[in-house]
Amino acid sequence: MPGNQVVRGQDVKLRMLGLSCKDASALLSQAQERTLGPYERLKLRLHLGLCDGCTNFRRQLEFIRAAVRRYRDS
Amino acid sequence: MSSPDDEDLQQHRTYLLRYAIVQLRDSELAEDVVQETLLAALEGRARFSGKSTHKTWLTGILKHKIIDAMRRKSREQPLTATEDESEADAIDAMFKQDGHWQQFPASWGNPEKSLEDKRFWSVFEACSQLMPARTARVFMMREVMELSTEEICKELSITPTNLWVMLHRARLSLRECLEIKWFGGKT
Repeated sequence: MPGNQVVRGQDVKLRMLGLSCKDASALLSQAQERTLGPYERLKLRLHLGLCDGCTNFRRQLEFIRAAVRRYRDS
Repeated sequence: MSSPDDEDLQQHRTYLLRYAIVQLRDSELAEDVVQETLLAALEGRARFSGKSTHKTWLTGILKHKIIDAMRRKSREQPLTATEDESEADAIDAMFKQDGHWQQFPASWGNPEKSLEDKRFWSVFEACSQLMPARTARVFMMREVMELSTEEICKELSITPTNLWVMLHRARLSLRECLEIKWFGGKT
């Protein structure tokens, strides 16, 4: 649903926090490889609080990991 | 469980082959690797401890053979700057200029239900074939063999940043494909 991008006011806030969806998604992916630093975690938490797309992406990453393992073990 | 004979081992051939093909994306190489595995198992069968099943034991040997094969492959075809760039380009293509998603990730509802659906797995297989072979190999080392960043970087002589970019690209591409081909029609 391309219509539900973050609403305008939130959009400005997100950019002020310096974390775009592109950056946030990269951090979410890296969180599967390494422990994020406290500042990264904070920025990510603030971003996720305002962004449904990246929140969905986080859930999808967990699912993909689980699916690959199920595929392997089947 | 007693030490296995050739027939016991051959029973698992199909499973091992599928396991190897998924990771190596090269059926000829997968055949070789499985063959090596079965030979090594036969030679080393006295060392089979009986603590695990034959299948688990064979898979353990196979994993090492796959890593060896991947290491050889990456030596023959080291990571080039262009390939590295194309990974980053593929990620760029999924986002707008301002860093927003091109395809805003949708809610997949309760995706775990799909794991029980046979049709889901054929979509899943098709989607995992979409990424370049090299990306797929790295993704499988991480997700199927569960190697750590350090181990993969050492095996393939790449940097953690290279690796993270490739893994991210693999996940983005798999995500997008699953959403379009499977979850798109469901939510």
